[in-house]
Amino acid sequence: MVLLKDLNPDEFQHRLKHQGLRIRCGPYVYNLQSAEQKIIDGLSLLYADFEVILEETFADFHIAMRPSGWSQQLRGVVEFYWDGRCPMNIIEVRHSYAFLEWGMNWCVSIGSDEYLKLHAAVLEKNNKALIMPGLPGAGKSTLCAALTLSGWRLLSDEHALVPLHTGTVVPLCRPVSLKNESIDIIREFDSSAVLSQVAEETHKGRVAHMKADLAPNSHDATPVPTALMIFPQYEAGAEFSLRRKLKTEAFMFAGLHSFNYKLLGETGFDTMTQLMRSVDCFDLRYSSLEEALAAVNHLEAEVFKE
Amino acid sequence: MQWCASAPGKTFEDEEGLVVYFSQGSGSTHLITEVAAFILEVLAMGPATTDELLHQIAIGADDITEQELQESVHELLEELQASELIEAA
Repeated sequence: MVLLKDLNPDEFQHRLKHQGLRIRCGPYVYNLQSAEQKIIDGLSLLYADFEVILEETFADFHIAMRPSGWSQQLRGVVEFYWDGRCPMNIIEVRHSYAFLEWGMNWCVSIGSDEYLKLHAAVLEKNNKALIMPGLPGAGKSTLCAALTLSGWRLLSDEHALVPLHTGTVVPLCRPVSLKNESIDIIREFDSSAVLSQVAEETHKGRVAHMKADLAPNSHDATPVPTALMIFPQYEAGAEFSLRRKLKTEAFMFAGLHSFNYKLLGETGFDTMTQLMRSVDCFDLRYSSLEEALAAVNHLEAEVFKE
Repeated sequence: MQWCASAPGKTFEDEEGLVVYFSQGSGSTHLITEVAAFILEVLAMGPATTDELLHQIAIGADDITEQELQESVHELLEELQASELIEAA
């Protein structure tokens, strides 16, 4: 197996600029093409331990980020290409790495339906998975990053990939996206966290990505049995609370915020039913990251040992 | 009035009174009460009148007046009809 850090820098950049660099992420292979320095820097830093595929074999997603011509080059903007199409607005070069990460998520969100896909962070400990669905701003990425830095294995920051008719999740480990205050919170939480350069003034504010493949088995794509579903809600100044959530309510929330539950029809319902039978569900409201971490670790000790 | 289920359905239940109901006809998913799920279960076996449904529900609801029962079941039937889970037979 060849890792990105094993490639010499010239070969890495040559592949990225020309035929594309094939990177394995969980069950998928991305073929990435770009000559932008921001992207070269971001990938070198955050994907160093990812497997690269040197043969030009099948890739699930072909992504390129480049200007469509001289005028875009002169204006300092690029297009995001997915299988040759441009589904997004033009992107400022200074935001190109953040958009690449979003684009890689987006391809999975809309481009594959062999799994029930929930919008959730997923982590693993003792071969049991914790799923954390959450609305934007709920603090799931911050909590997810802190857990990743505290001995949990990140399975995904964005997608819970549930193989149909199972109560398991397939790992899709990629960098964790941090926004605005979360960036400084995580820097303060662990000064050794490896973060990309901050993209300022994006449509979501300040954005940085954190290297998240910190466990020895981070890139093992073997499905993991699920045991716990926590719905985090960060609220400044809020009193800490942790309460058991009805599985029926959890079912509806997770289904509503799934990328393809409705599309999968009865198969989606059957898969969600099986998933819900395998997890204990909780609502977690917090304002202190330390309190939230302690609560999750406590639940892990209680629930995972059952 | 006689009612029937619009299509077959599947359920997921927790221990505490709510049921997730999946309509195999429309592909829609609903969070409903146990009583609503009971009505759908009865209608899955065949059409039934409002009085027949009231009678069966009354067996499991002994601490409610007849008027309260009638009002709440009528309201429930209207909601289920509006959600296209049941229809007039």
